[in-house]
Amino acid sequence: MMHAIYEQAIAKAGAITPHWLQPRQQAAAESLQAIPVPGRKSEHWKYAPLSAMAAIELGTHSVQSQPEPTELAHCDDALTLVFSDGVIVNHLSCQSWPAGCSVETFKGLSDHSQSVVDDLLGKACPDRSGLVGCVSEATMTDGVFIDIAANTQLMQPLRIIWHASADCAWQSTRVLVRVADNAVVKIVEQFLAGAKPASDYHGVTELYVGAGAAVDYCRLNHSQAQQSFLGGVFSRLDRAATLRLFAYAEGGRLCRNEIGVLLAAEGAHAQVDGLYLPKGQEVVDFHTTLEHAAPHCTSEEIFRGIIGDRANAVFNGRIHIHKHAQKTNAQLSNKNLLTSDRAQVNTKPELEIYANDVQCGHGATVSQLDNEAVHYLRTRGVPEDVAVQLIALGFVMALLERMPISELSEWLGHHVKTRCTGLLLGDQ
Amino acid sequence: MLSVKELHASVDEKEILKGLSLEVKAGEVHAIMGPNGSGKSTLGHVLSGRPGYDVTHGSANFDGLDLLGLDTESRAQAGLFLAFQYPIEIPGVSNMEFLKASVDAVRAAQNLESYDSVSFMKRAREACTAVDLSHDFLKRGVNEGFSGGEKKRNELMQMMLLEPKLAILDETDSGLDIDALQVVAAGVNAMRSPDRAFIVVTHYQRLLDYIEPDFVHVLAGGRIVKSGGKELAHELERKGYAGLDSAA
Repeated sequence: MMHAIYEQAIAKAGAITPHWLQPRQQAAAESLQAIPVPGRKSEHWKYAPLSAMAAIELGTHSVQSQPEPTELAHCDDALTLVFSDGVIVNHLSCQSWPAGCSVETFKGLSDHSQSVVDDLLGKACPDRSGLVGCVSEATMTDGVFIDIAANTQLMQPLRIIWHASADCAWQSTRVLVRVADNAVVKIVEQFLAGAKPASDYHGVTELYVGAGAAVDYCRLNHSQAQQSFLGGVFSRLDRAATLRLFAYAEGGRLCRNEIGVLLAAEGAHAQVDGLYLPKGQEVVDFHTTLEHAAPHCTSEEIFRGIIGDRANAVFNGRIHIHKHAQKTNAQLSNKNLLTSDRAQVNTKPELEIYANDVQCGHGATVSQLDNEAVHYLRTRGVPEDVAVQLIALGFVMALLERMPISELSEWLGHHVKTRCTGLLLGDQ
Repeated sequence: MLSVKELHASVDEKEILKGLSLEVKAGEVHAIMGPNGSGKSTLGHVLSGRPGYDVTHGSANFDGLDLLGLDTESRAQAGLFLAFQYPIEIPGVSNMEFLKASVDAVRAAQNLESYDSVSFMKRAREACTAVDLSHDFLKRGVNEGFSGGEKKRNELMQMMLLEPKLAILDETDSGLDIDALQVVAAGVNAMRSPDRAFIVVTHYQRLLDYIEPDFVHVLAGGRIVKSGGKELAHELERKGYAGLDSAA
């Protein structure tokens, strides 16, 4: 039983996908047939069932539009790629790339890159036959391959913008990043809310981080009440590699991100942070998995959420420490602030430890808006809505200050303030 | 400036203020003393608009405004300031950001031009210096991890920036060592002016050695039972409230 939207997407993708991807696509489509649409009875989907996703008609793309410059995540000197409805917008995208940095779309891959992509694609997804990976492979029409050569130190951030025009009901995005040994790179990937009230994304990103390499990656999911996002970012870290990841999600009919980090060799370090701000009747869902598969690796994970109105947030953070991963240090924290009596969060840190010499900690808290603090600010003349904004921003400030791409933190801070406006007054 | 008449107020349906009346004119400093549980803090909370404090009878007129009919922020914007006995910690919200939001809101309500960030920063630093707080406190979260004395000085610093018409200091002296007490008193004295009034709520006569009041009131059982000049504070220090109760 397959979700109606996937059937439409597969039928459509078959005609326009690059030739070399087609066998892979057919295989994924067949696997997908066997996967039921997960509902409330499935453990990993019980608080945010996929069956809630709207049954929409894909329609045909006719007019391509462009994102407003003000929507773009602000970072100076970014090397930008803009896609609208899955198609690259050349005049908004960088045309020449610095030395050591190769950027190609799947449709325009060189023979050499094609064999690299064909080999790597999907290998970072922990469960390749799982729904997120399968849908992506079955429906992708194009993708981006970013290849950073060994020892390259890229100072300017790479920024990938996904935009959906008023004609686009659904699109499947794919990014594959290979960072060779000792290279340093910053990447921002931003999914803009579609222009159509019901406009969905399926977005999968893979990061391969070579020995001694350092990758900063920020994922920004914007969406509106009736829009859905499904996807994830999956990474594999080699010896002494560092990944600092930050994921921001607003919420929608369903906004689900799966984050997978495989610490595959000794000395790797991952910082995995996230922030979610659903309101109205939105649902946001993060499922994270840190696979500690080698000794002497460290990971630190901090997720915070502000949940307003009747919104619903899900955080499932799994840390899996393999038998040989001695001397692991893994820490996980999830804190939630509910600003209404009807807001809901389901948080579940999961530790699965098979090694006997590790340090591992986890904690989750759920709290309400501190009325004493709101009152205190009001006695200083600060109006109630501004007081709530300030407190909400304060709740996430520690996280914003840790943002791997610091240029973004001020921009996101303003965004959080705007997003938290009227949280107390919301009556949906 | 402030005229409180026959004020009755309850918390959780328990009546705390039982017919309190008080007249405060511009330029005056009033000290309110009284035993524990007499309603001293309640007065400050009721006047500043704390939720959960129900006024059941009486009125409070502040500069021509029906104070009790205004919401909390409007009272502050009208020029009322309460220095908390127990200032609240707000993690993550920087003192500077909080002060700017506060001063901007109050000045906007009073049709005054807002400060640009450079001149505001200068004023904030001056206020810090005046209460002997390091400028680093501006960057820290509001009262976050401050010691008791630092919290009280932070309250004073806010008062200096907000320049209220009427400031109520709720046991600002409690928990202060003698040096900090003098700093706080000097801060208050520097702000005394013919168009500003203070209500100083305290347990001890000690503070009044430094902030000399024009009037001293004794609050007991939710009412003011005795009023006098500054010599009343000395009398209280000698005889205690018990001696006074029997006299009253």
